Amino acid sequence: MNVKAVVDRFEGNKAVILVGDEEEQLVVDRAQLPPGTREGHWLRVEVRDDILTRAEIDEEETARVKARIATKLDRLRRGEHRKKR
Amino acid sequence: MKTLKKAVLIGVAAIVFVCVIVGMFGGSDDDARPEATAIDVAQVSEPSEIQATAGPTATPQPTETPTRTPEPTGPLLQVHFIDVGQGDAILILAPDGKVALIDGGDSGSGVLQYLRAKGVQRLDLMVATHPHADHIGGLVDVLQALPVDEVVTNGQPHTTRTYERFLDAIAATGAVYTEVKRGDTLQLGVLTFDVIHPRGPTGQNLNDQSIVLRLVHSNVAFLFTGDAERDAETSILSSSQNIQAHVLKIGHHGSQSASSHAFLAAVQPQVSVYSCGAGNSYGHPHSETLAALTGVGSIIYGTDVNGTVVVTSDGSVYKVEVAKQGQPSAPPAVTPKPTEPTSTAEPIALTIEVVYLTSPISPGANASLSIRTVPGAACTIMVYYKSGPSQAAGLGPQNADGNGMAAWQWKVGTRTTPGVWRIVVTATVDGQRTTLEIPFEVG
Repeated sequence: MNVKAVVDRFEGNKAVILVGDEEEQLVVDRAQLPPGTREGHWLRVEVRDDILTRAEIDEEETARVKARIATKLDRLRRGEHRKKR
Repeated sequence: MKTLKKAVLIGVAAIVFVCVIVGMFGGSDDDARPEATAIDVAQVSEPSEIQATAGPTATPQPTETPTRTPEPTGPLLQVHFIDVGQGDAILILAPDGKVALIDGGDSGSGVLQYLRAKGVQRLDLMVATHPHADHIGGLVDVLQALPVDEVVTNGQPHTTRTYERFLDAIAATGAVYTEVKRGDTLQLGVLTFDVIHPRGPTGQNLNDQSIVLRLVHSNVAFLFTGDAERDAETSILSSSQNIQAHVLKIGHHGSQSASSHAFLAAVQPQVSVYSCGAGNSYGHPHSETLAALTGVGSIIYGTDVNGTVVVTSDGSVYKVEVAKQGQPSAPPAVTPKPTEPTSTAEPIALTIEVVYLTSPISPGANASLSIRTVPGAACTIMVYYKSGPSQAAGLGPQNADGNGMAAWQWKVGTRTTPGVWRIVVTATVDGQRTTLEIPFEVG
């Protein structure tokens, strides 16, 4: 469980997860993900040869990333990225 | 490796013109319902030999001017449904020279190269319909390379690094950042987009929050739906907005999760275009969607079959040009059996020949395989590594094209065990199946 991944989207009964810093796309069965997994959830996964072998939800990482992105989005909404120009 | 996608397709570039005379309607109110008074479909060109270059940049080459139907004249609007594999990217060149891009496919999908090939050096408007990677990944590439005046989103955040890089790239360019919702308008020079959806940045399903835009160019109307699915369509229908369009960007890559009968009946598209990759992992386009579109009398184009599709309008007449001729069809619903191929004698008529394979290949690189078999054959692929069949995106079934060609592209993950592994391809036609096992070296 040493790799992080994030659920980008669901497509029918498949889920598209982005694995690692490279965000390598794997298309896995939804049933391979823990119950309650939603779009945007961060996961701790085990991947062997482009095959997902284990996955668990990482609520802490999910919350951390959400907070970081909310801050960045707020700056854009307030136009701060234009003021410094 | 990207450019290898269609390098083997020394194919036939066919231009299909669909010229439509759109009748004048009373007044010039943009909310009026344009009425088409005539439709004339003419296949006017003899197929001409060209050497197809890098997939997404393959350019339609008009070879002949239609004689039976009027050509768009004067200041022209061009809408390019760019072939970015599995994803959406739509380039809009306004009659007054303004440029907009709606979505950009996945990262590295070739949208930037396409823009450059078209001489686009800056964007006036960039729209991210929603924050999934197959729509915003390529927008990051564009933001990092070209000046962009304004970036428009629905305000719905995501948690992927791709989305975070999208925000970072907007911040770095200093582009105006705007969030829109139903009832807003977007201006692109002389053109106005009506924001049909979403109602606001809420909801769980990111697809159903997609920005849906309607563009009326005098008497020719376009509807761009992002990945809006049936819940979004229901919301749009209940809002009683005018969504009639001559040209429809089909929702969600032709998935049956979109394109309800009620929605299509309200849009009444004459021409519909879906954007997806051949051999995608999701079975797009779904047969139900194609049947529903046929049911409302629409002509259908798809980037998986037709490559980049360009619609040119002068406001009263429009034409459609495609990079490749072909009839969109749903990929085979074949469930490949993860078993050893049988060693029975190969049927004589049905063969599979490897045209191109990237092997040996390094972990982390993009692989591609092209095969030739019988035209129209249902083809499947399985890539077996040490631990079993790969779950990389892009290894879905597909139909061989009119030349019997089928091609897949996928990434060999950085965690792939080096060694000589195998690819198993099957082709099925008329109940007859053949299997080919191909060695594949990773290292």
